[in-house]
Amino acid sequence: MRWVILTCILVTVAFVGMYISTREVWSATNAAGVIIAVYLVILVAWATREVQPRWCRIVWRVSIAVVFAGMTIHWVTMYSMTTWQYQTLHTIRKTVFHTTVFDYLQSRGLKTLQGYYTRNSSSNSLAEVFNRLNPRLEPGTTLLDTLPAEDGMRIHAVSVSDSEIVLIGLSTIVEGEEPSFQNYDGRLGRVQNRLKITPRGLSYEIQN
Amino acid sequence: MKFRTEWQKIRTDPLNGAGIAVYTLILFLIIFLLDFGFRAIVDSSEGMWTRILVPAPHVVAGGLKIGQALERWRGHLEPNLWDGKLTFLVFLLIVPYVIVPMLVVWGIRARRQWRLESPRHGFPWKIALALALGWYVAIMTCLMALVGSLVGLSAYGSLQSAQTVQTNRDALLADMNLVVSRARTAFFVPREKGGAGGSWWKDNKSKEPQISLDALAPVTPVLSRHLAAGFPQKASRFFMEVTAPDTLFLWGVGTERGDSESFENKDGQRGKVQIRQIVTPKGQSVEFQN
Repeated sequence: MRWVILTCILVTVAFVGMYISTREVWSATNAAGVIIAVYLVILVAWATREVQPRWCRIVWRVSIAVVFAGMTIHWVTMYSMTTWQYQTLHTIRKTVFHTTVFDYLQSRGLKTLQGYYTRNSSSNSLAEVFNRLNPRLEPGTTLLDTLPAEDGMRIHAVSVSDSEIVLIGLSTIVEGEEPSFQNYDGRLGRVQNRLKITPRGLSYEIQN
Repeated sequence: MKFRTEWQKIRTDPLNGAGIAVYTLILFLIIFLLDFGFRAIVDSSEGMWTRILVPAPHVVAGGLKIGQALERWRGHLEPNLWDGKLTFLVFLLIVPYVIVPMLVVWGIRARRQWRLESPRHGFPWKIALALALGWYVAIMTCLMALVGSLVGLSAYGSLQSAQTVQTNRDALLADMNLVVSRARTAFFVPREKGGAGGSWWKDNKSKEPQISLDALAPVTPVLSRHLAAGFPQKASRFFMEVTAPDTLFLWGVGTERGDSESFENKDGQRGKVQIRQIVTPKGQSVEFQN
């Protein structure tokens, strides 16, 4: 009975302690699982020590070891699969973001170039064409768009001149590759792409 | 007749093999009913689909990990400090794998002792419960260990294979979008500034392309350059045909096998992922061909 209570306490402390310190559910579950595995090995060895004849004891222990191995495989598979899915889902998220923001930025860049070279209005400079086609969400700011809202996406016109226009597309929530990357809006480590528009064309860069 | 004989044996010795099997079956039915109630409560209070029918803490942990991934997707970057789901996980670790095994060891010894007693008093429900619980957990654990592990490995393999193909399609599409963007940009930029000057043909007579894939295609895949760890990609192959001054066909051939193995790719290969885009200065249409 003492051993059961002690193991219960150890498992709980390992799980809670690991989870609180890492906020990682698998680290906590694995820590608790290791303690349970040690407990079960000792328990099986102790409980089968008096089984007679000897071959019967060996059969019991081997059978339990086979089940133990199967459970370990299932456990490790679940761990690998869900950890992989966790990472993959985030990669998909970033891929979707980069593809979407590329489309938004490219569309603005192409319309600007088209307007600039069509020259069917009085405003002929690159900056004038861009400003006419891309009104700010709020006057005096660099913010052009906030779509799609669920991605926390923001498109900023960072600099606008006749020789060069720089647009930044970033997310306020989606984490990028480099956690220490300084985003344009002051946040750290979020995804960010940049488009440069010049009279010679567009150049696109995934920054984080 | 045989059933009656067995029933007589159970009445005489409630802890014989048939008796334990019956108690295990009854316990299974009780847990099955409890499972409905538990799910009704937990589903509504925690928003968590889970079962107490199968003592599988690692499956629950996997479910929680996926839940965290979805929360992260929605912008909730920091997991909760603690919640009912974690309490349930601790319960699933402790009860079936710490308390029940010890109960079984006790039950086996107590059963041996009880059967030696004479005369026997009352029904040994504690021993019956301990042994039924033990058999229940043992059967479920064996099922997980022997069947679950094989099914899990197979599912993991299938998921990885499907995702590898989809990742290749995503990478190919991203690269093609860059090619298309460069081609459309070139259309608007005058020839004296390095563009195509309003036509992708050099002239209407020769109908030769004004732009070349060498200049348009990315040297290395766009996304894998930045998402290298989660996005390992080999370079794709591109093919372009300019069918009119303002119409361009672009094909991208990936490196993974697509849906149809008999599909003939633009480069003569068979069964590889392939995407086609039809591009005009106003926009583009995308077709996933394989």
